[in-house]
Amino acid sequence: MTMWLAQSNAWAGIDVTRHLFLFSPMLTLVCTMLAVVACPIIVGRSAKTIGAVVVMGIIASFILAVRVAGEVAGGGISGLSTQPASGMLLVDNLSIAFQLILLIFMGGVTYLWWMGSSDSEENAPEFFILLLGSAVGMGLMVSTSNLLMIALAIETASLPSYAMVGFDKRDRRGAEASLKYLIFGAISAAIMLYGISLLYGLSGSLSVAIVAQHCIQSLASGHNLVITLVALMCLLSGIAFKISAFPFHFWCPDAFEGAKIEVTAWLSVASKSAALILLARLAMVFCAGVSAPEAIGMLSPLAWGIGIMAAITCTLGNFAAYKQTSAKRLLAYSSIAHAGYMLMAIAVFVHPHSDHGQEGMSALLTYIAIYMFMNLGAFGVVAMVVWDTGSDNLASFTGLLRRAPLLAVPMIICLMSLVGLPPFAGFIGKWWILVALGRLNDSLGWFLVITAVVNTLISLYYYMRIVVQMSLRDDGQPALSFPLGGMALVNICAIALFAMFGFAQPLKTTSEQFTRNIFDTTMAKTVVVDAAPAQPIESVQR
Amino acid sequence: MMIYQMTALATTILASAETTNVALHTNSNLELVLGIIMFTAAGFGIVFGGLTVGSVVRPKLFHPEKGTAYECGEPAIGDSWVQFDLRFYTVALVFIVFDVEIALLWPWAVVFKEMGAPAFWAFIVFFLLIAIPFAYEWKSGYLTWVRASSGQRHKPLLKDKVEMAAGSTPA
Amino acid sequence: MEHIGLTHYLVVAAVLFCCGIFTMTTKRNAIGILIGVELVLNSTGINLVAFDRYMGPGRLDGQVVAIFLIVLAAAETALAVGICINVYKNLSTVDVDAASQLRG
Repeated sequence: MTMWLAQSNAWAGIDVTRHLFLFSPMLTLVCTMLAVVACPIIVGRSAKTIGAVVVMGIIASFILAVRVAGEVAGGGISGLSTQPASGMLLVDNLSIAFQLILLIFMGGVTYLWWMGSSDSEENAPEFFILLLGSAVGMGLMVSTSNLLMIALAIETASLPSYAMVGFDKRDRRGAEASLKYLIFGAISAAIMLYGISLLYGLSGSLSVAIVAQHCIQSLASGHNLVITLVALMCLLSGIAFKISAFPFHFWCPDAFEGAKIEVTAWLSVASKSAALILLARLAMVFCAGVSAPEAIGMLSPLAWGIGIMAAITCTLGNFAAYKQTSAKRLLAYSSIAHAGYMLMAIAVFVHPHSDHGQEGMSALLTYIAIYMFMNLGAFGVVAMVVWDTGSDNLASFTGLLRRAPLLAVPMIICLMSLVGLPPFAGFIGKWWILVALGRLNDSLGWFLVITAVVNTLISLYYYMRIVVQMSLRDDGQPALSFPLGGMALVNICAIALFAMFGFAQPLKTTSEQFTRNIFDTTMAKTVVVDAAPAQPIESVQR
Repeated sequence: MMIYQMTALATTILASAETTNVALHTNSNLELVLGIIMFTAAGFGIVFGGLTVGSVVRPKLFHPEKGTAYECGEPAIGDSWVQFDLRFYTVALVFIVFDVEIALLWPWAVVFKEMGAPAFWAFIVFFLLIAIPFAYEWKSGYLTWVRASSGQRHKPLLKDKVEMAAGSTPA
Repeated sequence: MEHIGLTHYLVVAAVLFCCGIFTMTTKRNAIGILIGVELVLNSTGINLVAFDRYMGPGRLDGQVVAIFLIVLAAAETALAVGICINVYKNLSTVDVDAASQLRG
């Protein structure tokens, strides 16, 4: 079939087979989704069957992603069409790296779900359709630099998430959480789309590279200044919602507390990091468009803006986590704080003094990879405590070190890693962001370094509270019963955190490899931008 | 707080849309803005003016009959805020989802002749993406009005059957 | 008055956008808020199609986005109504102020 397609005129010049191959990890997930939909029709709703189909899909997708990673290592492909500038998707090192992380994480979440669901579970197909759907959306978010695709990807990631949060239909809290998430999400998505329509009008194109050029022009010349700023802010508000950055973070604790624990784990890592990488890509395009003389004037406020947003986000997350009694809600606020740390990495390469764009990007990627293991481990332990005691209140963690040492020890490791203490990987992630900030060697850099360090101290307190509850207090509750597989999962996460600290240098090299050559694909470089001059609004004849 | 932010945002957008216009076509635009203002003022004037004059002039004789809804001269029975059967919503949802897909077929139909075979295969993929979920809906019993058939997920309990017979929502 | 031009469409869209924002911020009923969201999405659609029409011939991007927007809005509405039904079953109301169990 693909041969036939390639012979047709409309597709002339496109190597269809290669493009399909490059995009195969996400296509495999879509096919898996269809297979899961077809399962209840053909073989029934058994959770085991569905789980097997999903796991096979994830493994197939992972193998393909590894092969694609080898293919694009020397430089990605932009557009997946003959005209990169008008193309909608791109495949490069960064997108593949994120997809690999996403697939590993999805495997973990699937396993967690599989252990947590009872034998009589009959909603397995629906859950996995939603999970796969949001995974595809997140995979698309990191592999595009086109406004339409950005909007579609964010919605594809969001819509299943709303439903997943309210998945248990008899749960009042879940219903309330999904309502709040839905309303915040729908509002910010609508505002983002309005911003996209204005950006399209200002630049006449949906390609982010061209849009950024026009935005910079109008910012430099003061022409259409207000409307450009408003449009950019609308776009950013949609992305900031997904990151749960400061003014758009209200949904996060409620949605995370009301959702089932596997869903909370999934959202806390996957949706946030996808949005962060998307924001990083946009920032990269924007910075590249600014030529040197104007750079200081324009990038400095932007860097300060993102920096202050990051500082407020992580301070707020940490202070709100301070007085929480629900472990899920505490981890939700901690995930807001971590989003703040990761935003700091983006502030690094927006900064005009910085020519270490790649340094910020690789620090961000490493942090995401480490954060995935920390959260999977921590949520895994919380999940097993909830399954046994039925409550995620901190009181049910009392004496866990005696009741279930094989859960308490990995939990302590994950929590210390979340704080960022050596010898755990969380330290590495935080350290590289701090190093990148320090190298800026100006007021913003040091301001963010101080904020991050102070925040780490604050966070030490509330993470330690759980540790103290688990180790020093004991009210004689009976030993915890937990599935062996779950114990293995959290211990693997804990060991991974050790290992990543031990192999810090290879980790750094790998993440640098995966952030190489991403610039050209993001900028849709191979095409001459001036070939089809876009008409800005001013020249419109009525 | 969110509310203030949004209102401020909205105001800025409206203002910026108008400043752009002013910069472009000063005369026509002032005319337009003036027109909008006059139109809005007239609209508000007629509504509130009428109500104000009415409230001053009319005799104030209250009667409970006057407070009821006018139903063609018949006395109203019950409240108008009755709850519809939830099945209507379910059917509407299914309808919306499949109905809107037609919008995506429209541009496809425009270029179908020029593109030929690839367009056909693209359609087949699209059709599969719709057909399989449709089969799923059918099989899961979301399309049956009275959910008592054998292909259904939950075998109805006796209680549900009684409720269904009484015309209320099945649990 | 002269011919209807791009600015007229933009003003209509901006007014619609403001109405949508106003609806979202003042309504306490979840369905009402979603109607506000729909207004904003429709204003976006007007913007996109108007830009396509007035920014020179041969532009299709905006119209394509508008079509996707319609599908997006429908998908969102379907899901939103589903969630609202679920909330109604659990809380017997879709007033967002009643959703106050999760806080802190």
